[in-house]
Amino acid sequence: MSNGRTTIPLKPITPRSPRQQKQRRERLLIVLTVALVVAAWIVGYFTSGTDVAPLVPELLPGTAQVRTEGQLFTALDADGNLIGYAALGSAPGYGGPIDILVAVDPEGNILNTQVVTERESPGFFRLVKSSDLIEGYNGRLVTDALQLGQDLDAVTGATVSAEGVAAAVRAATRQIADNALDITIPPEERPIQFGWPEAILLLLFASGYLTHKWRNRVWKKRARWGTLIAGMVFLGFVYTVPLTITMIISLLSGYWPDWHNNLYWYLLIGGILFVTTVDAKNPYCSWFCPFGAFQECVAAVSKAKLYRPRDLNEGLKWVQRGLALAAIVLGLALRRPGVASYEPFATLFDLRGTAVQWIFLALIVLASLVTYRPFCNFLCPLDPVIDLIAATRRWLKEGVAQWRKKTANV
Amino acid sequence: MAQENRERLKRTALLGFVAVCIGLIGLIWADGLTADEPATPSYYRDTFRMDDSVYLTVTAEAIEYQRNLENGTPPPTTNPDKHDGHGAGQGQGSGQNDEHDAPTATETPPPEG
Repeated sequence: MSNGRTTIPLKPITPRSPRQQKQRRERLLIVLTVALVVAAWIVGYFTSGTDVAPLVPELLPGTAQVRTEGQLFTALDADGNLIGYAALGSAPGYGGPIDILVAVDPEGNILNTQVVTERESPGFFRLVKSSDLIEGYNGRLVTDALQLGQDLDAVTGATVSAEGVAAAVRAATRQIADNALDITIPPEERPIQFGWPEAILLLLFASGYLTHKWRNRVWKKRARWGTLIAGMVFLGFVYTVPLTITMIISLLSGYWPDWHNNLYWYLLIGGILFVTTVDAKNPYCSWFCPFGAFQECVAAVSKAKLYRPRDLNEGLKWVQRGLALAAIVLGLALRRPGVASYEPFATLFDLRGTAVQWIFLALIVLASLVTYRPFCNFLCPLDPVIDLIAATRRWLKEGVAQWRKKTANV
Repeated sequence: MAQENRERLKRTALLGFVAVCIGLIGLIWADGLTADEPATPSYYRDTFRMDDSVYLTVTAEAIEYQRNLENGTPPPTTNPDKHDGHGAGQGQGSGQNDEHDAPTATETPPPEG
């Protein structure tokens, strides 16, 4: 008794398992996070920027007219007589480009300098401002070397920012010399700076990567303590170059420093991204993060263990992720990576910080006596960033596997 | 019972630690945002600090107009009296008509007080 119709058996709808639901939720949140970061990037891109011409009369008193040719400004008095020139120079600092307006008289003497924009950590830049560096340019000639350590004093504790200021001033004076004064300044030599910080970092990466594969637990533990202590001493107390959220925001903002004298920045970020993407391992946090090592040392004294109740686990994880996202969105939207950083690294390793930063550090040290790595486990913004990279990697890997399966079936 | 109380105390201490830290992080951000306000005007900031006794940028058109005046060339305007200089500034001045007004150097008002 067939009526000519064929019945297609319906595939029963299977409810998603909790694991699948979690995975789906996780992927949705990855997409939302990326969308939010992109939106912050766009906001920052369109709202950043400064109008420099109104500043020229401040640096060259008596200016009645300013003629603008690109980044070069010619200042004239009310009768049209030349007062001097000003130019905007830009160079990478710690958090992003530092823009400085430099004013010179027609003979090439520097009359005034003013920081137009900077994206540095406020603590670092306060050191530069309170030093004599910026005022120290007044009275010098555009043909002077204007190099830190040569004719200018370096700023202890804010080396990268001070280098950025000096390079920005040199860029501005070069522009005035070339385009306004017809003075030829020989091109600046930019040798690649590879020193102890870079060498130590490479060694730590290599030892962390190789020794985490050891099967002997005792030796593995010893090796880990070795890299941790080395990280704390060298990357922390000696050179104070830990990974910070400022570096991540600078990377996302496109504020990449000059690789010739900031090779460390590229090795650190590149190394972490490479190992996390290729090997799904985070070599930095557990093997040589200087602040993590310091907390572990404190915990070793009091024999503290991690306290993280299961029912609070998810909530605490989201608090940490929220902090990281807020820092990234803040840094990108304002295009000031240095402001978004809240890690107490400089306070501990450089013994420098505001009252609030000292209280924050004291609280973390006290908490380290009772629980294992409290900053890393509950507050650090870098852990969620590395988690996000790892989750994206998993997702992509699964996508590629499914696509391969489909093409194989076809 | 004692174990339960101890656990409760630990949980409260942990949550308190995280809450206080979030508050401190907020203060660190606020300090960073307010302490070093850029001294320069942004395109999107409506007020800025400058020397009130000077003119702003003179445009190429204004220079050309001034040269024409000096050389005796008639100014390309039909109603020069209309330009009283009040409220002019970066294209935001009132009563300006680009078609008829001759461009001039932007003048800043005298300092207040």
